Amino acid sequence: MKRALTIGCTIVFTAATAMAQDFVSRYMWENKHDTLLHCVSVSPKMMEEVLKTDAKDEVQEEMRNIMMDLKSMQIVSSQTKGDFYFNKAEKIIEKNINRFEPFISFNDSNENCRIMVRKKEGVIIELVMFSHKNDHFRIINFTGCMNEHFIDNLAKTMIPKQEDKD
Amino acid sequence: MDYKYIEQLLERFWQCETSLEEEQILRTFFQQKEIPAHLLSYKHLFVYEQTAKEVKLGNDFDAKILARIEKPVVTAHHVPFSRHLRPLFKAAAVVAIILSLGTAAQRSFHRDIETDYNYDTYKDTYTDPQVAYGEISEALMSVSESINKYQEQYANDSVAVAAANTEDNSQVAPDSIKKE
Repeated sequence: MKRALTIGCTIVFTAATAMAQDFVSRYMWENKHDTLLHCVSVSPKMMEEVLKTDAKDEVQEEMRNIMMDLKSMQIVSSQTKGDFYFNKAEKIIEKNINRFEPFISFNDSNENCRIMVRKKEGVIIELVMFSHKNDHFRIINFTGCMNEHFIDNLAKTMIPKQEDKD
Repeated sequence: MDYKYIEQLLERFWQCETSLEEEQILRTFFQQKEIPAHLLSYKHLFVYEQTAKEVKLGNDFDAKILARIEKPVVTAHHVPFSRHLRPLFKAAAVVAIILSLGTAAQRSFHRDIETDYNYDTYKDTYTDPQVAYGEISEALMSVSESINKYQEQYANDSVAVAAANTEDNSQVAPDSIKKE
C-alpha cells in the first residue's frame, strides 16, 4: 500500500511541478511579503470572457484581434522604489537567461524599459515588459501564442498615449 | 560365577539357533539386577522386548483420534482493513500511471504550440470582462508605445550616427538604445 501511495504521490508531484511559472508569478513568489507591490491578474478564463464582449468601434475590433493571441495577463506595479524593483526583475532575468531572450530595451532621461520574450518553436509564448519611470515600477506579463505578425500589429495599431508622447 | 552357559546361549542366539525356551532363559537372566559387566551391553535388547510389551494405548486414545478426524480445524485469521484496500490502491496506482503516460504521449504526439504555464494559481482581479478589457487594452498600449519609442529612438540614433560618420569620418555608438 505504501509503495502504491508513494508512486501515486510521485506522479502527482511530477505532474504539478512540470508546469512552469510565468515571470510575474516568479517575481511575486520572490517578493511575497512585499506589500508595496500590487498585482493584477487576468486568467485565461477571463480572457475568453473578454473576447466575447462586443467591439464598439474599429479600434476595439483591432484590439480584440490582438487579444485573441493572448491567453493571460498579469501586471505588477509599485508607486515607489522603482529602481529597486527594476533591479530585482533584472536579477530574475539573469537567473533565467536561457528561458528569456531580450526583445528590446531602451533607457532615456526618465525611463528605463526592457521587453523580454520566451519563445517556443519560434513563437513567443510569453512577453514580459518591465519598466521604471519616475520611481514607478511596472511589469506587464502576457502569455499566449504571439508571432511576428502580432508584434507588428501591436506596434502599428495601438495608439500611444498622448501624454507620454509629449 | 560361571556364565559360560549364558555366553553359549548368546552365541547361539546370534546364530539364530536358540529355541524358544532358550530365549526365555536369556530373557530371565537379563531381567536380574546383577549382571556381569561384559554382558551388560546385551541387557537392553532382552529387557526392551519385555518393556515394549507393557506399552499399551491409553483409554482415551480412540476418543482423541476420533476428535481429530471428525472436527475440521478452523483457525481464525485476522486480516487488517488496509489489506482489504490493497487491491484498490494498486488499481488506482496503475490507473494513475496509465493516465500519466497517456498524457505524456499525447503531448509528445500533438505538440501544438501550447503554453505550459500553471494557470491554476491565477486569481482574477476583475469579475467584469469590460473592466478586464480596459486593463488589457491599456497594457497593450503601453507595450506598443514602448516598441514605437524604441523604434523611433533607434531610427533617430541611426541617422545621428550616419551624420557623425559623414562629418567626422568616425563612429559614434548610440548610448541611449541597446539594440537587442
